Amino acid sequence: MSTNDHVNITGKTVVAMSGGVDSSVAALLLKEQGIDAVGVSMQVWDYRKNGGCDSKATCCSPDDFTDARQVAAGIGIPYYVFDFEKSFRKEVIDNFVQTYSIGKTPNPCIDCNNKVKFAELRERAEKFGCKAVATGHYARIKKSESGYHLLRGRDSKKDQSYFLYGLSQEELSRTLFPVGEMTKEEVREVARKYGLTTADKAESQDICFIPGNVQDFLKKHGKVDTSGVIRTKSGEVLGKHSGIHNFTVGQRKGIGIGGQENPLYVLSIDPNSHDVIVGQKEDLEREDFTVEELNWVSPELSDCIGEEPTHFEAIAQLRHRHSGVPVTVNVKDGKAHVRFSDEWSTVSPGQACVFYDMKNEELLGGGRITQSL
Amino acid sequence: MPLRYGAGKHVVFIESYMRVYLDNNASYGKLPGIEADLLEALSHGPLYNPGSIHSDGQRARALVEGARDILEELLGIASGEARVIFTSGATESNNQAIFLPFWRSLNREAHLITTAIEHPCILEPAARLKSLGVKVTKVLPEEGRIRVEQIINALTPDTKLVSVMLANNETGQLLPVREISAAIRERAPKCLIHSDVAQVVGKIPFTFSDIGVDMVSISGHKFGSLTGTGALVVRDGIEPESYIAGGAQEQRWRSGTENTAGIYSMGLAAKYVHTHINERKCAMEKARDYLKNELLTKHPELQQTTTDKEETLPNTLHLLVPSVNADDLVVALDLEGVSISSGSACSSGKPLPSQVLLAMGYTEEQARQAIRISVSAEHSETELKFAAEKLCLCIERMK
Repeated sequence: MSTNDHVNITGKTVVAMSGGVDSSVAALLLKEQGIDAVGVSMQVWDYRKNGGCDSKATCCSPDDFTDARQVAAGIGIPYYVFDFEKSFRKEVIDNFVQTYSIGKTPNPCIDCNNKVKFAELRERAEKFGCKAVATGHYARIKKSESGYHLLRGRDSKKDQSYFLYGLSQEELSRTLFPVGEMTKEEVREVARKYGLTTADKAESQDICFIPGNVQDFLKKHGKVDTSGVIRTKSGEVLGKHSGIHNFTVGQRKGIGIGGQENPLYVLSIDPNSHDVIVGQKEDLEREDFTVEELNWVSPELSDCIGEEPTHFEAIAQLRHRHSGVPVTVNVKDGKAHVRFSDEWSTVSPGQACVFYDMKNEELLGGGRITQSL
Repeated sequence: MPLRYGAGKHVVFIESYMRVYLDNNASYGKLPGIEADLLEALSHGPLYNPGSIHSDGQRARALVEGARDILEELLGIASGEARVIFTSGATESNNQAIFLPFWRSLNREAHLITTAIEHPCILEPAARLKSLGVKVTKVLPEEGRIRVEQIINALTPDTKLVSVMLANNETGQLLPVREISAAIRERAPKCLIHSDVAQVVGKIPFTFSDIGVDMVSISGHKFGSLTGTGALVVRDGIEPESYIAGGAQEQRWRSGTENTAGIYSMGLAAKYVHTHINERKCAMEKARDYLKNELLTKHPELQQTTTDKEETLPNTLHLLVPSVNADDLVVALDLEGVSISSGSACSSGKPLPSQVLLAMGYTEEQARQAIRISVSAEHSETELKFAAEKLCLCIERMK
C-alpha cells in the first residue's frame, strides 16, 4: 500500500505524532518505506496549568508525548516537541470563546488543523530543511494532470477529510497521509504486529482542551454573562437560561423547557439580547444557507473560482459525523449560497460546511456557515 | 518484529552523514582509551556485590576501591583530609549536601545560602528545605556575576551551609569559590561550605584543598564515565547523615549496593583525564576559540554571555542568537548532524526559558535565544570545520 506516490520525497519528512495509534502507525509506515521521518509533537495547551484532558480521551497531553517518544525511539526516528501554545491560544481558544459569545457554534478542531497544525508545522519543517509533512489523518491524496485531489479516507467510519478543507494545492503537494488507505482495524493490527505501545490506546474524543463542561471553561476564559430568556418566534417567553453558549442551532436535548406538545428545537440565538428562540422541527429546516471564509481544494475549482460567479452541484457535509446531502452551490463575491437539492435540512452557523463531489469521494472545498435564515 | 522490547540498540537516528557532538557539558562524549579496560572487566560476567563476603564480592570491592583511590588522586585529596562517597550522580550528591546540615535542625532557626544560577538539583532541594521552614537566601548575580561580598553579606549566625557552584553549566563562567570559602572561614568558622564542581572535573586542574570547601559534588558522565555514577566528597570529621537509608554502604553515607560497573568506569575516566589534564584543557580552548572566531566573524550579531576577560570553562561557548528561538535551532542543527543544547529545561515537556539567564538579568526573550556549545578535547579539524559550517548555515536559515 503506497500512499506517497504524489510526493517526490528526496529529503526528510516531518511526521506529526499526537501519541495516538494513527500517527504512530503513520510514522512507522514512513520509516518502513525508507523515508527519512522526523517525529514531532505539538504542545498546544498547558494541561497542568489549565486543566483539561484526563489522559484517556485526549491527544497532546504530557502522557501522550511520553507515548509518542517511546514509539519514535522504538521505530528509530528522531523526535521533538514544539511549543505551539501561543498560536493555539490565539487561533483556537480565543476564537472558540468569541464564537460562542456571538451565539454561534465553534469548531475548534478545524481551526487547530488549519491554522495551527498544518500552518505551524509546515513553517518549522521548512526551517529544518524537511520537504514534506505527514499526519495520521484518515484521508487520501491523489495526483492527476490537473493537480492534487483530496479524497475521503478509505475507512468511511474514520474519514477525517472534513477537517482538512483548509489545505491548498501547494500544501497537498507536500502532505502525506500514510494511513489514509487503511481501516482503523488495520492500523491497530500493524501497531500490534510491531509492538507499538499505542496499539490499543483509546480514541481521543471531545474537545481536547475542555476539562469539564464548556460553561466552566468559558467562564474561566473571560466570557461575560450571556444569560437570557428562551422564547418562541412570536415572542412568548417560555423560560430563562444561564448562557447562550449552552445552545446550538438545531439542538433538541437539554433546552430545559418541559410540558410541550412537540419537542422543541433551538431555531436561532440572538447574540445581542441573548434570547434563545425555539420552535418546531419544521421551523428549523432551511432550503438554503450561506458559507463564507471559503477555501477551494480541488484543482479544478481552485483554478476557476475567481471573479466570475460559479455554479455546481455537490454533496455537502455539515458536521463531522454527517453523511452529506446533495446541494446546489452558487459562488459569488467570495460567498457560497447553498441550496438543498432534495430534503431541507438543519444547519448550525459557525460550523464548517465541506463540499464533496457527487460521488461523495473527493473534497472540493469548504467554509464556515454564516447564516441559515 | 516486535520493536518495543530490546529496541534502541538498532536505532541509528540520523545516518548517512557526519555527526559532531558539541554537548559535552550535558554528558561528555567518547573518551579515548577507557573502553578496552571497561569491556575487559565486564567480560568476567556480572560485577557482583561489593558488600559480599566471598571472593566474587571482594573482586567487585577491589574495583570500587581502586576507583576511589583514583578519584582521591584526581582531586588531590591528602590522607585523612576527605572521603569520596559514591552516589548515582551530581543530582544525588547535591541533594545530599544541601540536606546534610538541616536534618537535625529543621525546627530550629537555620539558614542556607546559595546562588540563583545553580543547577536545579541545588535549587529544588533548597526550595524543599524552604517549604520545611529553613530560611533560604538565593544570591542574585549583580551585573551578571556573583561577588564574594554578596555571599558574605548574606551570612547570619544561623547560616549552616553555603553552596556555590565552581562553574556554571550554561554560561561556563567560573565563580570565586576559593575566595568565598576563605572569607566564610574568617567570619563563620562553623558554617559548612559546599560546591558543585561537576562541570570542572577533567577540564581545569584543581584540588579539593585549593578551593577550601567542606564538600564537593562530582558527576562521572560529565568527564567520560557511564551515566548514573558520581560522588560526594566530604571533609573528614563531618558526621554522616544518610540521605538514602538502608544497608549503610559507603561508610554509612549512602545506602544501596554500589554501581560497580559505573564506579569502575568513573575511575578509568578519572585516571585518563587526570593524566592528560593540561593538554586537554589546551585542546578544548583551541576548539572553542576556533568555533567562536568562525561564528562571530560570519555572524557578528551573536552575543557572548561571558567576556573574554573573565575566567570560563575552556570548552564552553555560550551565545545569544538574536531573533532566533534556540530550541528550534537545536533541532535544526541536530537534523544537520550537530548536537548542541539550549539553556531551556524541558523535562516537563514544556520548554522554559533559561533560568540562569533570567537570574543574570536577561529578558525572557533573550533567555530563549541562548545556545550552548560545549566542545570536547578530542575533535578533529574536519569535525570542527563541519560544525562551524552547519552552525552558520542553520543560524542563517532560522532568521
